[in-house]
Amino acid sequence: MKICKTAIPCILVTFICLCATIAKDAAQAPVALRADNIVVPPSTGPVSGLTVMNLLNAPYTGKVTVKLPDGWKADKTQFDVSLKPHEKKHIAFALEKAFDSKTHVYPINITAVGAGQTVTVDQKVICTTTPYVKPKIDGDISEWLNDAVPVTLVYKSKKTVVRTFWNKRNFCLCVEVQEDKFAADADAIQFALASGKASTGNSPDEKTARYEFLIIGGKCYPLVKPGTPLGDTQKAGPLPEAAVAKSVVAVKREKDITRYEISIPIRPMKELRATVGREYRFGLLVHDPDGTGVRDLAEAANPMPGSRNKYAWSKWKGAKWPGEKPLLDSKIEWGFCTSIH
Amino acid sequence: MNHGMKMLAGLVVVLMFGVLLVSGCKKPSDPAGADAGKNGDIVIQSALAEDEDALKAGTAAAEALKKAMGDTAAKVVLVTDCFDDKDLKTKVIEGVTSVFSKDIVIGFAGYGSFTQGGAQDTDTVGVLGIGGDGIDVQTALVTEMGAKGLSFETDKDKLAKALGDGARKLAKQLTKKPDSQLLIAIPDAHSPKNQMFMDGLQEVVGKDFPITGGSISKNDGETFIHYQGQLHSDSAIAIMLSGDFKVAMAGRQAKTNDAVIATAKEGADEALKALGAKPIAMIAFDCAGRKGKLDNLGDELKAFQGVTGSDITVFGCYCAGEFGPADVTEKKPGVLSSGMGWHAMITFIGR
Repeated sequence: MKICKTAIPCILVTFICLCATIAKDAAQAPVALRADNIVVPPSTGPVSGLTVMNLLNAPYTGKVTVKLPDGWKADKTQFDVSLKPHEKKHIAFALEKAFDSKTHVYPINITAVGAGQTVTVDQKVICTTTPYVKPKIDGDISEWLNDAVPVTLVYKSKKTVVRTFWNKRNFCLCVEVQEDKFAADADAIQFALASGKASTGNSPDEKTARYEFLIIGGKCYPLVKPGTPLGDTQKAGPLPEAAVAKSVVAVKREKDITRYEISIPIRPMKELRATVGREYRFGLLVHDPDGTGVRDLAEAANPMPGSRNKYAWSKWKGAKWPGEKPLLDSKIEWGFCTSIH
Repeated sequence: MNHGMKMLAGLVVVLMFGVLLVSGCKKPSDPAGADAGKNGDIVIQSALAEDEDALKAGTAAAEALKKAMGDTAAKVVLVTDCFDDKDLKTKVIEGVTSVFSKDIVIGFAGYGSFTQGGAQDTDTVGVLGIGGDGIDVQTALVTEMGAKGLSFETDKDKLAKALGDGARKLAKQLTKKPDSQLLIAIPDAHSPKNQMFMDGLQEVVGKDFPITGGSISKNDGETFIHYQGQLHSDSAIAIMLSGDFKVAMAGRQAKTNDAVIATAKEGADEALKALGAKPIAMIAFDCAGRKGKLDNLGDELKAFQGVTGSDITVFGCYCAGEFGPADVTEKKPGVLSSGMGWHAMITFIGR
């Protein structure tokens, strides 16, 4: 009799919890959807894709349909999807016909029908490609304006525009930061590069898969390279004494824009294996401590739920980090191309 | 000697004189005739060198090719280099022409190359030498096509005219003989512009004529072809091969690591089977984008070698667009070659 008295409330609690979970699942979107960035100019007919993430505690079965910009054609645009609870799957499709846009932003609509719901995402897919150009690093960014693809982040009403180039010797970066004040000893650009297959682990013993750099005070410092325990990246140590060998940095301030132009040798970053058509991972933070705080470029790349990772970025002495939640992962999909023309 | 014998001897002398007279009347380089000697030697060799010093790379590749050609004089040396800027490309040409006469050296900027010795990209020079009595070689150049700066999206008609006219002008310099077997064309026309160039070529040589080749690198500061020692941009080169030999082609498209490797084998298999003769060489105009998808650069070459074995010559180069049989579901009837991207265009030459 005693057992029954204990068991009944337990069963009731379990039942209520189960109902609550089912009700919660029914209320929320069953899947999250995200189209990949386009990592080489679309007119060259690359492989692109999308990610489907099951947000339910139950399996998900459905049909995903991709609607491409007008005039584009892919080898496949409808996909049957079966996902375990919280499973994430990547679906690839090849663009057979596509056109480059001057804005480098492409409207893509994704619809998933399953679990009794229709989820639709209208995404402005960005082109994140790095053309082969040898810029002169002198603070004059005119050569970037025609030949590079800008990726723009607006955070707290301030704009950040990032452009990238590569060549056989160097990886080059141009960052325009809109800010009210420029503090040479505190404002900084932190960026990370990794191979296209790299991912960030979740425990301190796992190793980094990225090269990470910091530009501050007119110099570019190495922060981390692949193979470093992730736990070590969270110890805010002093900056290395020496800047990256053969790196060149130019910083110029004009009205409310601070322009950074950087080149660092690409050959020591063997994991990237830079070549035309190869995908890589890129991330960038703007440290603007007396203005917007930390700006994370990944916010401009339509991040999926669960993309935040406390090991995404290396800490360094003097930086002011946002406290409330980890930053997004430093691994936005990006690609090396030959030219955008 | 009796009268009858004298008459016979006289007849023989007259006949012999007549034969000599007739053979003497034949033009030595009749463009409509089959110049390449039947069963004459066909020597096709390749070499590749890597060196940060462009002059050294060019010289080393040419010296290795010269050695491989043995006693056979090359009739053409096709060079592909993967160096930055005009100055370094000039050094490559200096190196190659220190070994071969500049009159037979032509080439283009690419994204790397491969031979039986390996696949390389940065700071490399790949060379292909063709010679022997059994193969006739004609080369041609067209400059100032007028396509520079024109966009596929906004200047489509102008671009089609410029590239079409350039291709026609190029092809008309070459004579398509009865025994012409293969046209290799290399324009400054990135995929998808390369189909416009192909349309022009096919107006001259026909849609069913085997055409292979590739588009030059579009990397900033590298868009050059060269012909007899001179660098040109907005230009194209071509080689017409004629003689008593066979050619078979296949094209394969791929955009992922596994597919690049698998299609290399499939394409090479298909072309070799279609050849129906003993292979002398495999020439591949391959996409730089395919190369970019490879986890290991040498894996595609290994797949090719699985078909070619190690004895025949292999010459491959990575391009910004390729000419050859399109690997698409909707093929144009009667059209052998197309201007494509993401393809490995494989040609076997044999007899």
